[in-house]
Amino acid sequence: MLTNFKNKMRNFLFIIVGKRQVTFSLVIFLIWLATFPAWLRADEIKPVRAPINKNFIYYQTQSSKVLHYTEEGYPLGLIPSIHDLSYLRFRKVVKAAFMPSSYDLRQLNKLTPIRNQGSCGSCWAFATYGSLESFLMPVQPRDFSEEHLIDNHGFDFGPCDGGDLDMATAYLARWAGPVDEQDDPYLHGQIQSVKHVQEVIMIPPRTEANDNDLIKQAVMNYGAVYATMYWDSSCYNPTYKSYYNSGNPVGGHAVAIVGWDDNFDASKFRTAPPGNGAFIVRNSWGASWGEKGYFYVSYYDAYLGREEFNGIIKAEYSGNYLINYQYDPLGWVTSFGYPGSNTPDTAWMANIFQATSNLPLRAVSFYTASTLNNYVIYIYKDPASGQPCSGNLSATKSGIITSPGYFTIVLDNPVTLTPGEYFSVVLKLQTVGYNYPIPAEGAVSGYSSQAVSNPGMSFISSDGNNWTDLASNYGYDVCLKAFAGPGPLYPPINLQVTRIVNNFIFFHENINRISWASNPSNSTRIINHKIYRKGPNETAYSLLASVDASQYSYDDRALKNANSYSYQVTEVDEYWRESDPVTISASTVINDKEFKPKDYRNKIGIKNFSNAN
Amino acid sequence: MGFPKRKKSIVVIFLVLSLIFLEVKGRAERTKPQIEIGFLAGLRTLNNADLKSVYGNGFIFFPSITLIWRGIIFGGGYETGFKKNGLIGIYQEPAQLTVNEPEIYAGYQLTLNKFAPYLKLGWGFYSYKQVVNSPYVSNYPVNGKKSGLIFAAGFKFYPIKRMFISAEIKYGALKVKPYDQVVDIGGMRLNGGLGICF
Repeated sequence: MLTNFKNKMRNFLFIIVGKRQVTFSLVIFLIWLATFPAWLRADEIKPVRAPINKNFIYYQTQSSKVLHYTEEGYPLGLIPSIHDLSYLRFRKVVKAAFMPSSYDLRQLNKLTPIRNQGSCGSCWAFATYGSLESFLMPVQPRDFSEEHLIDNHGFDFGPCDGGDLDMATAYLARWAGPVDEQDDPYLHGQIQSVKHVQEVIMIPPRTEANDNDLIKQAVMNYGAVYATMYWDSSCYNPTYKSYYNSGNPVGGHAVAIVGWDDNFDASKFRTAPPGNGAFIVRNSWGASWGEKGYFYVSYYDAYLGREEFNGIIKAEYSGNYLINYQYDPLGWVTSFGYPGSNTPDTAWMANIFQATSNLPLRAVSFYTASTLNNYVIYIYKDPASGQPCSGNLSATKSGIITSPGYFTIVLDNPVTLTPGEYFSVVLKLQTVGYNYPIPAEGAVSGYSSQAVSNPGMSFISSDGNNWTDLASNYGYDVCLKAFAGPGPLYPPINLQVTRIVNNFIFFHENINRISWASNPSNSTRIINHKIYRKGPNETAYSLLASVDASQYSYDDRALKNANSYSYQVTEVDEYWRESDPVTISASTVINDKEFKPKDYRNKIGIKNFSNAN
Repeated sequence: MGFPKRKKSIVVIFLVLSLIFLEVKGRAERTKPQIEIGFLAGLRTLNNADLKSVYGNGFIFFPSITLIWRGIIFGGGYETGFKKNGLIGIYQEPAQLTVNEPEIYAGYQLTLNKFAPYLKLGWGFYSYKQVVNSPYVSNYPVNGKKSGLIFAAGFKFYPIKRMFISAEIKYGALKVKPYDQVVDIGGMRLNGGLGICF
């Protein structure tokens, strides 16, 4: 039947317009048919910007009326996040299998000393470094410069006008910091970051008084957690250093959660909450405030950790990557998505970069907004203009990230690059339950007006085939960074100390001979070794000597109490990266050698001395 | 071979009688006090083996003035010139050891015609100093003083009336402890020299 119908129709058309014309029309029709759906999609599925946090909008219109100081004169300084996190309010509460009833980082040497923000609205900077410094404790006690952070965050707010975790993350992720406090206590300036923040875990806001396990788990696993609250002086009980705000959003404040006590009595609050339990919170109003700078906030507080992301800021060795390819120095300002597509929580994004060095590409970083994120990364070399998914596919990597935040994904194999060569980083990202998967940076008046877009370099797509130039069309760039570096730099191996007695006849000189071997896993050229020493009454290591790469021992001479010293040795490579140290204490050494003049005045003695280890 | 025992005894008795005779004769001639100025030079050893291995033995000078009356000797001198360089320690750093010593002594001199053997017992006032050219041990200066007993024995030969030639062996005992190590910087001296008499 169908065949007969087709034949009849063909014969009819041939009779009416002729065979050649029919064939031509058919080709035209087929071309139209093939391209029409793309037009249709372009019309139907346009990228849409995520909504802005209502609290942020309110803050911008009312900022002069917002409480910036407590009644007692203590400064606040939290600006609400620009991101609308309402989609996270209905997430399933995660309960951990086991959680101790109390936990206190103060007892675990996981905190640096309490700081004082003075009269500046910089609580967010102190809370950020409260978390970061805690993450590094106790192995690496650091004091990072909040001043440098507030002076160089790059957003539209003055140094003491406030900030939030997004601003801190942007500053850290672009490697503007952290810098040491001693390098920039009060001054502006370009100072190299001493650590690289490659991961910020953003813990979703608490949904209820007992939704605490994510924060508790983070405290136990990493250290202090950045958190926000609203301060109302009438909610503070100075007798028990306790705080419970049942619902008065007065002045935004950022703090750090450092522990908890499930049995903290509800009666100890000025107004009793519905139940016991409190977080132990680190403030930045000096050690003379509260309980040596800390206070207790009820689990039932209406705002602590419940309005915005709570943060864990992690840092790693700054030499892991040396080049940060990025178009988003101000970080995650907004999000784009395709809510009208069949898979609205999935989207594609890409940045095309031009290599500035022959250092190979090793990692990619991006923001995630959901508690479950599926990603696939593609690296193309020499992509065609405006087509990030073209050229030579050089690497792929896929995985799952189970938290919102900023994450760095290390490629399985580094991608070699040539200076001047273009390469594209393409990311397919599914933010389960959130329809704006594409984090983007761009100019938002009153917030990030200094942002500069890069036309022709940053693209988004709903399907990975049809790309939109985000910069040209919307003035934004995708938050998708790529990191290049020479590979890990490992510390030296076989560190030893030999105690040697040098005989000056009238007296003996005590010497610690530190010896080591270069790490064979290092692929870069080592240019020198650094030796650090910590004396019996010192709390930190200080540089003792820097020796050539060919030297694998150093004699620490004229020691009064030789076994009371500890040593660290590092390797420095051709890129001036310094490895993590390897540590040894002379008190653990059992091999002592005393040399008599007659020993070292002959060849055998000298040989033995040289081989003292 | 050699002398028979009886002959040996006879020779010894003869020598002793000769010495007594010469001494009685000489004493009768030396009723007046005599002053001698001597200038000896020689080798000084170091008892401490470590010191010796670094610095070795040293050359010394010993000018002295001695009063002799009826064979009894009183005098004093200054032993100097022991200034030795060496390489010390496991790093073989340059070092220098200096030992000087004024001393006073008393003794007895047996005058046997032109020969005069003598024995002396003295007290030396040592100063010692070790300088190590190393910044690491600058906090350990070795620069001290100490005194010690001296024994000496020798003989003089008077070829003419107002001049003598002398040879002497001397031992000075001295242990010092500038820090926690006891170091014996005493040692033997083998000196020879000339002197004049007044």
